[in-house]
Amino acid sequence: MLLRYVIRNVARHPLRATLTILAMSVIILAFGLLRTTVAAWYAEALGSPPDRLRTRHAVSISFQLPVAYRQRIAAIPGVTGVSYANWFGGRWKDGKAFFPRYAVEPVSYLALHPDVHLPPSQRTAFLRDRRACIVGRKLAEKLGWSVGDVVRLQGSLYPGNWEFIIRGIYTGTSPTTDEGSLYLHWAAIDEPRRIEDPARAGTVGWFVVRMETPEHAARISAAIDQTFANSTAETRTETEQAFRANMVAMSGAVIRVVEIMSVLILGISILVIANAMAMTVRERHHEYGILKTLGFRGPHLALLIFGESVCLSLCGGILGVVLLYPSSRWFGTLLTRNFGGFFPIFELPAQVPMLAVLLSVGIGLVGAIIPFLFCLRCRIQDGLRYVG
Amino acid sequence: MRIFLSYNLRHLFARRTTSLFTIMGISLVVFIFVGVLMLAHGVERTLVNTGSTDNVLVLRKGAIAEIGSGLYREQAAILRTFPEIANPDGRVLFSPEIVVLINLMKRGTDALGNVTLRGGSTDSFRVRPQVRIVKGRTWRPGTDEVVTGQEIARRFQNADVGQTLRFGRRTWTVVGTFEAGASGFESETWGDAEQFMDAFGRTYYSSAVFRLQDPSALSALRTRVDQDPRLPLSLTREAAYYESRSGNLASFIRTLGLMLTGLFSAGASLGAMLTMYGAVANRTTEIGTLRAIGFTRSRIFSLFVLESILIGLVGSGLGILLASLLQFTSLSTINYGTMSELAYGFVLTHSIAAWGVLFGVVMATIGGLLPAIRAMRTNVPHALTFRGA
Repeated sequence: MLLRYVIRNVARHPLRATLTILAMSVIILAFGLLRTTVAAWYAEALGSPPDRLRTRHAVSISFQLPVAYRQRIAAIPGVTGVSYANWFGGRWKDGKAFFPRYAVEPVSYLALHPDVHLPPSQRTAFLRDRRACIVGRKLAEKLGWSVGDVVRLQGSLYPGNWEFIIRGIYTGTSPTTDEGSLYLHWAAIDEPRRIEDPARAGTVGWFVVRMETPEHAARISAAIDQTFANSTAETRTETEQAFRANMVAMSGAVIRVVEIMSVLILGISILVIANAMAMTVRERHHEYGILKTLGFRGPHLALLIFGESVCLSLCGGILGVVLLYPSSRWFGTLLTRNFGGFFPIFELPAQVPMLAVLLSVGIGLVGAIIPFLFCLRCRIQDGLRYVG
Repeated sequence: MRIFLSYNLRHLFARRTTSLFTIMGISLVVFIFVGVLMLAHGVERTLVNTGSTDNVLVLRKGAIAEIGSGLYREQAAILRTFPEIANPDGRVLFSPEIVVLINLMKRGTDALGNVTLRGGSTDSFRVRPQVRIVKGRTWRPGTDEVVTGQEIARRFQNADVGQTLRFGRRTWTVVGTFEAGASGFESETWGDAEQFMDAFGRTYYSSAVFRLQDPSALSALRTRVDQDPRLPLSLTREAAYYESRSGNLASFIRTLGLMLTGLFSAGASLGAMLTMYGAVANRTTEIGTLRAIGFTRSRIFSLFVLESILIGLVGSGLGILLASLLQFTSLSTINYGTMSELAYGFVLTHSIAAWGVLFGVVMATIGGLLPAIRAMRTNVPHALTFRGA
């Protein structure tokens, strides 16, 4: 009975209801996008398989390790595979379109990263040719590359002008695989360095270590770092997840700002709902007087006002969530296109729509508080006397 | 006009709950909008402040940042003799430096940050007069002493005067902290070049900075270096170098922030529309009366547009006021341009404030347009006999 009254009330002002629901949906949509952005930031960190470790120089990422460490790491019990990689750095064209470029030892690297998938023919072509490189599907789409094209890069960490032939376009077999990078042969860039800059030749940025089981991560990490303790290049070994989580944490303050923004816009939505309800309650002043005379008590009125408010905000919330699905895809494409380095992956996490719907109920409740107090406070005779 | 204004103001006051909600909604959106612009500007400002236009930064050809660059001692020795370099009181303003990243632990967390470590000499201070020791003293040459920028001292563990830092298999004593006019140097740690080279097993510098006697001599000098086969180096103005390092982070903050602000400003606009429709519906009789005593349709229209502009003005003023409080806080994150920690604040400028006002007013006006059109079209006899909604 009261529920029908609530629904009738919502429909009494179609224009106001529509505007409120639209405003709500837009705000919930923005909230969802912000949350998805935060989740995308962490996505890659959580996406790494737990059985991989990363060994790097203990001082920081600006120092390199001798490639010869590989054999000594491989000899540690529990280690089932070792590969190595380095940043190639460099600049493509004017440097505006940034994408990560890694120099890797291709055979072991691909073996340790089964989620980087290449068709067998492209794989052999890449392994066979030292001047070859492979690029991710998203990157190739963005820059319009296809197999056989030549990528010209101006070296930074490895000076000179470089040309690499695209021998393969890889796809990610898991949704968290980064499809926006370029991989090339480490040997191809180390060889000229041996002649030109022998002091810095034979060095790598990090080793990728695969373990038999993830449970041994702590023991094996400690064993690797112990092996190189007190040498000229001490190491820091951690799980790939921890490494990425730390990289993410370095920009943590920016993410916190995004999170604060997402809370603030909830404030905006509360204001919109409160405004609509305040207008409604004000207009129905007279009506509430009559209802009170008929014997309706506080709880009944509460049900009416809170019910209407929640009904409005929930409709808006659901509409916002419906809109969130297509727009998060569009927003994701936009972000990965402009900031692929930050957001290799942009997926709408399952809990965000749930959270948005729950929050819109909460917003409806909070938004109705002030209008309800107003209604509760007014005395019957004032209500009846009120003419609008 | 004055009658209009006081009429509008009184009406806003008469329906203060609704007006207040709308104004607060707009002020929140403006707050976020202005905050985003302030933060992006803060990043740029910090890095622009870092470099000086009279200074020239020398990097290895092709190197994008100081960390991937290398400069051999022989090259530094050749550069030092260039007559274009300023030499007040007989000593050239030339400082070859080793720049590396180290990991330090942030205060109150177990997260590591990449901190720029710059090894130089007293010349590092001479070429950068904005850098001043504010606590303790500078390092004694040839010792394991370091000084930290005040942002590092504040934000990282064991980085304050009297404490010790551990890196490069040695222990270093912090003997001073310096300020540098809110520039990026405040997020660095400085010490003795020879000691750092020894600790990190390196025999070459990363870069060199020198002051030009005549700032316009750079291009001639550049040609000379280009022609010298011993010097495969690139010369950039220090200011231009640091400015170029801000690009990614600043544009990231700006793009992400503005795209989202644009979206939820639509929400606030709809909220304003709601209020204005309410205002029009409430005053149907009044509008009819005004029309009957001779106010034209366009006057009625401008009356309501003016009211929404007022809401926009008050809302954005409030939002900017709130945002200006952000200037007391600052952030510290990794700057992808240098891969190192950078502290930056929110910086409010006149043009950002103007954009904020414009944004708020446009938002409110868009919300007020349709209701104003409805008010304009009010049918007079109908309105005069209107008895409440």
